[in-house]
Amino acid sequence: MLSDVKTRSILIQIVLVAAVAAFAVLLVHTTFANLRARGIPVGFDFLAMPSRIVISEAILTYKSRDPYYWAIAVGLANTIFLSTLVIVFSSILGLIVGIARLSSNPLASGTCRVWVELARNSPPIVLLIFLYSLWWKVLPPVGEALNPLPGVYASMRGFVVPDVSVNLSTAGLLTAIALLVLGMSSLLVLRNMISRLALAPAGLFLVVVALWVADIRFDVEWPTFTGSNFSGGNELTPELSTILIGLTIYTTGFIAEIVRGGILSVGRGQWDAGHSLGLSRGKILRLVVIPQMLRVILPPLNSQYINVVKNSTLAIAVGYPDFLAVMNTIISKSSHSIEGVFIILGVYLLLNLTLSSAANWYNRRISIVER
Amino acid sequence: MSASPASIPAPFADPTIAIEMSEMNKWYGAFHVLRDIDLTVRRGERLVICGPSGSGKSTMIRCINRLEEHQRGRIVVDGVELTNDLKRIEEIRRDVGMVFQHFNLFPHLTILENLTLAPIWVRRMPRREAEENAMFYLERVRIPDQAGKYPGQLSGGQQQRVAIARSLCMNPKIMLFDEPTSALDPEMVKEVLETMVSLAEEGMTMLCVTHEMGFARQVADRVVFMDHGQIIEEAHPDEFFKNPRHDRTRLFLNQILN
Repeated sequence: MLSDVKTRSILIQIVLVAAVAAFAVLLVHTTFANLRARGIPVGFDFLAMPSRIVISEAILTYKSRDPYYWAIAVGLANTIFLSTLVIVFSSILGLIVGIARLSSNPLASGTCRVWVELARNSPPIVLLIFLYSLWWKVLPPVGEALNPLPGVYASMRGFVVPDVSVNLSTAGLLTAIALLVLGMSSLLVLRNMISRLALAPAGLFLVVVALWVADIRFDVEWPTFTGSNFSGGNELTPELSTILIGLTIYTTGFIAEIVRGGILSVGRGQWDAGHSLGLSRGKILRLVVIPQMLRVILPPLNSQYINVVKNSTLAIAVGYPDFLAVMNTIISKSSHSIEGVFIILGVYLLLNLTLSSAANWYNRRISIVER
Repeated sequence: MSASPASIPAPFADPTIAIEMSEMNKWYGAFHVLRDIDLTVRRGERLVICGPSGSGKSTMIRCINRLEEHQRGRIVVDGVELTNDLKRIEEIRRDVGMVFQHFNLFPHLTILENLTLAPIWVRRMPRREAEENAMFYLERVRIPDQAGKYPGQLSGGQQQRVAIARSLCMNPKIMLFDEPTSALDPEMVKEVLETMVSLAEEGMTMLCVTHEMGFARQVADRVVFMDHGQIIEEAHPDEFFKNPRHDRTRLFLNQILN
């Protein structure tokens, strides 16, 4: 029986799994025994206790008397916020830079090449520290803030941009929605009968009319300088700006290369076919090449997205309180280091598995049908 | 027709002429691919272009819709001279259909979407009209039941017929065929040739690069033989196959017919 290939392979696997499990149990047991012997508390009970740590900026509201679990959530929210922004910006820029690298215009392709090579060949932390140091070397003190666009100020203390809030009445909103639904559904019915040329202006007209009917007012709060600082408007700290800009520049370099490879992977015959039908270069790119390219670039693109989440931990270098930075503070404050590390590992694993499964789902959805 | 009178000198304004190439030369780097090509194609004429591989026949017909650029001489298609003017090139491409050796269907679109893409985006045709138009041509190439499938689900012969229908959807004045049956299994060659014969019978102006000599005998008004980037000989198929004038033509015919 032992000579049977199947039985033998199953047996070997059982033995291996048992050995690994036994080793893991031994490790955990020894660790916990040692921790208890030194009087260090073990367990996740501390999460409900007030943290009393300081988080310098957060997109969720946080006070230092909030419990540890909320501090963790605040750090996680910062990481997700940062990663999402970097992913969105670097995807858009990466697409543009990747396409421009294939341009026949030497200025465009050359500039993009420099970008790609700089981004790909420098360690991200060097880029971040360089950008962060620029902040104090290049930008003026707050009193002499640069004003590149109306309402936008840049100084040592970061960016200040106008704050826009939307003001509207329920009745106006409901009328506008009803109008939009009615108009759009009639356009949808007519969609197949009228030319594409007329469809977009008709839709745009509808939206404008709806906005007018809804009587939406955008209240803009302009930042004003009050002698020592700006009041009003939204502030973007130098820390968040640096990690955001730095990671975006860095990731864009990689995504641009992926996009370039993806475009080149679509055969010349597809361009020939498009040209022979009278389609312009831009339309071939949009209707034929990019949809096919997406299927090719999705797996490497997803690795880049995962890298963004992992690289967001470099926020610690410029002092932006991302998840890892918050966890570090929590670990040193609470001395629950083992639990903390488990939480860190678990959270990054969860974030990246979520990204991967979303990408896999999308990949299956758009895969090309073959026989 | 081009608005610019400069592009239509007197001899080319003749409305019975579909394509006029004169003294046309093309190089790939230092390699001289096409040498002094002079060829006039009248409307409704069916040309078969043959010759050994590497003789420049594909390159020549790809110059007609500017998939390849020529460096010297002139090409006038439908009264419009091919220059670097992108508007003119696109104008010509709209009216010149092309069928490729490897079909070049768009694999991410269904058969119907392959056929409606250009009419919708180039001709600005409403979707429903484009779809009706597409179904009409799918019926002509006898595969209306495949409209919802993707190119990868079709046989080579079916894909090539879809490619022909895709070109026809743009209502072209001239059709170029670049070895349309060379990538097909032998049993599928016939169905594609039949489609091409029926197109020829309707009076379409056709230029066809092919080694199908049976097709040449059956439909061609003229057979053009090329070698080393030059047109060696052109003649009516009867004449061409019975008494080829040139030694190289004779050698070529011996090789492919025996």
